[in-house]
Amino acid sequence: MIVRGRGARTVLAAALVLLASGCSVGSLRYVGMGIGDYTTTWTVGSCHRLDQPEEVDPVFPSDTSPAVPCDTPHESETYAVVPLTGAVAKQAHRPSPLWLERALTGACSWNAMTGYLGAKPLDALQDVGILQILPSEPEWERGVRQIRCDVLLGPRTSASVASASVPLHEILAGPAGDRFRVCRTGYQQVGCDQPHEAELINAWIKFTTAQLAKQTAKQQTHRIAAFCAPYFARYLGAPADRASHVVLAVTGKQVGQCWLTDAKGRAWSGSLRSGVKELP
Amino acid sequence: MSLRRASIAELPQRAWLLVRAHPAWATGFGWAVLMLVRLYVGGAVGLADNFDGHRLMCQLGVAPHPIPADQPLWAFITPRYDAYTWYGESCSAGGSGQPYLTTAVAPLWIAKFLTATLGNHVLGLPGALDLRLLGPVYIATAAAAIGWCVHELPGRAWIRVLLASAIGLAVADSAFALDFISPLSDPAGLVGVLLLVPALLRLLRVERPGWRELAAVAAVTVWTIGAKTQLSSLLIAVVPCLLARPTAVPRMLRRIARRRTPAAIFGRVPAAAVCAGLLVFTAGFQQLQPRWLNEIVLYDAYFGELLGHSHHVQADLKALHLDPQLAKAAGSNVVAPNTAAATPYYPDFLEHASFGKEMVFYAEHPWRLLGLTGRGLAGMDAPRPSYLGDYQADSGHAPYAQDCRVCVVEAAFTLAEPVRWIVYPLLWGGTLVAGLLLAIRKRRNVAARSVGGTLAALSAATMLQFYLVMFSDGQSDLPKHMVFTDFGTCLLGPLAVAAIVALDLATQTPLEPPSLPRQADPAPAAVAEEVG
Repeated sequence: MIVRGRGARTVLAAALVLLASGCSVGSLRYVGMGIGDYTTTWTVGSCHRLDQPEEVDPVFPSDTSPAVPCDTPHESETYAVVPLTGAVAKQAHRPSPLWLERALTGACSWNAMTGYLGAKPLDALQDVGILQILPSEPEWERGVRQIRCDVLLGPRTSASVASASVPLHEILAGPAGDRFRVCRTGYQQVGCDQPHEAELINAWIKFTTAQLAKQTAKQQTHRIAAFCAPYFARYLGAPADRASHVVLAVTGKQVGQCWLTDAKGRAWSGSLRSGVKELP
Repeated sequence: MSLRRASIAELPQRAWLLVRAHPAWATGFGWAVLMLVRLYVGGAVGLADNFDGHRLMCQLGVAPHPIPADQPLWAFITPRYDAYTWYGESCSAGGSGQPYLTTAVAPLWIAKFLTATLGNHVLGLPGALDLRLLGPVYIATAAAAIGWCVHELPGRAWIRVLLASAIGLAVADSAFALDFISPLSDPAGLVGVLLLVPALLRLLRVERPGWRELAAVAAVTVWTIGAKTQLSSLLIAVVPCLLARPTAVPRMLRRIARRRTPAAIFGRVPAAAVCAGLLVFTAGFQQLQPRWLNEIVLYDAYFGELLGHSHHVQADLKALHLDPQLAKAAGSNVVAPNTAAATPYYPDFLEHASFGKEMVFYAEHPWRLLGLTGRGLAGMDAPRPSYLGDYQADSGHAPYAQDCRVCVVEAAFTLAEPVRWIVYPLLWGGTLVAGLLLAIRKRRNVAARSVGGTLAALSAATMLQFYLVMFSDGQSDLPKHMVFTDFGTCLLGPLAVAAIVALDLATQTPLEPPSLPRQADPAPAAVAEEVG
């Protein structure tokens, strides 16, 4: 067919453009967005590489990157998948990230996360947090209403992210989990896999303002030591009068913490909980 | 030796001869060189990323090169980007699951190509994309627009060069030029507004606009609105200019357009079609904007601006048909501790709030516009964000140091701040009225019509842009959001001077100069035949 005249050619060209754009509206949906099939990995125990700040920012609620083997570097690991309920779940379109963040606070349980890691009562942890992953917009439109609960490793800075190359499940049961236990050398907090002089127990005593005003620092220390002693025994699974350890009581603003130290002031590496039974 | 000395001595004369022979090319080239010097000599300067860069840069498959852990955020520019694979919604507008669509991505693809070729192999710039190679792309575009202005402005060559150079000076100012080396979409909008000036001058200058003039204005408008939706305000400038003069009547309509009135009506059919296309594009583009970003803007408009500056929050909430419990969030932004988004009333807000209802509120409470205008004018005293650094980390400058290699605009705006209620209304209103009078009363003179129309159009667009910002973002981050209002205001000065030149020319030569090319105009000929 030969089209004559400038006007007719213009109309034909416009029609072709419209036809072409109409045919490809579906494929245009993800123009300007990330690659992949927008499908979340909903598997407990799956590991995920999330290198960039945006990938763990609550404002970016979904993660559809492919899971990676857990013996390769990864920054998060799924410990639970829980159903999404309530008013939010009834929305036809996925609500704004801020609304979601506020509405779903606590949807992923901290205790479930520490349980997945193999933590026991009195374990004080650091460098682990919870990352809540929601369905992508296409999944939401398909009716998917569940939350992926990930353990997110820390610390993350503008220059680096923290990752692990081993599965995190039950990691606290062995020495590999010592990096997530809280220790300190001097006044600097470190992981218990580093040389340290004190190890924290997750038990604390609260002082009222009146008590703080009334008691001297020495009295407060005695009170904290008395409070911590039984927890110290339970933590170690040993008698409270074990000679090589003492309780170092540290008061914060209104809280007394229980730190285990060596009676002779020696430093050591590794957690007293997971393996080190005798100090050097 | 003496020969060389003689040729060196002749350089200014030769340069002047070149300018006289090719004023547009010479001016454009000159400003390209000046802007290159301004942005790169002494170390590249630009604008740090305030986290808005991600939604745009991720589309190119890159992520910022990590900065040292002890470097404060936003303190320095971070021009280097490394290759990175973004999956799904991690590359979307604020995690909304919807793309951030902007024409600004096109110059970045060119910069990525330049980085892979020139940057990696010649300039020693590692990385997948270096924003220092984005600067030349925008500089070339801006220089082309300045050269084009020389071609379209009225008056003698030296006057046109001076007027275009005044525009060039505004572009090179620290208030705007730093955007050229940034991961933001603003520079695409800035060069778009700049290109619109000569495009409109050209459109209004020719006796019968042809498809080239219409296409140029349409393309520049699509580019500019496509860069930032807030630039939809340009339609108020573009649509009247497109419809101002009839084009040649399309062939298929010539039979019914023999008389003067039908010819005038049907002669505007092509321009009307272009206008309709632009309106459809703008409306469609607005619809494609991510809901989440619209939600933030709506929040700022209601809680930041309208309720945040209200003396009767409860009464205003009632007038807006919103829950009175939302009063606690008055003055907050969406991430503030007292944000309404954290309350159970937020879904109710999203259901009942809209920009349309906001406009109705202001129509019913017009005195509130006075305070809103005052806050906007006060915000114009700082034409660039002070919380973003301009230098590279290894430049030796302090964190958040502000570049001031060309600092005319900031100085002028700061000086105008105490008399802002006089300066801006006078400049905007004055140029609008003067431009309209010039364009209408001296419409038979090409210079007057062209400059007057462009001046009025730009003035109207600048004012509308001002109120669009205030009605949407409100007082939030005004130095950043007002960038196009500031830029439009800066362009009004040179165009106002051009209008004076045009008025002088119109007084001297009231009729259209015969040297201008006229296009075939079959409709009036047909009328003449009929009369004869």
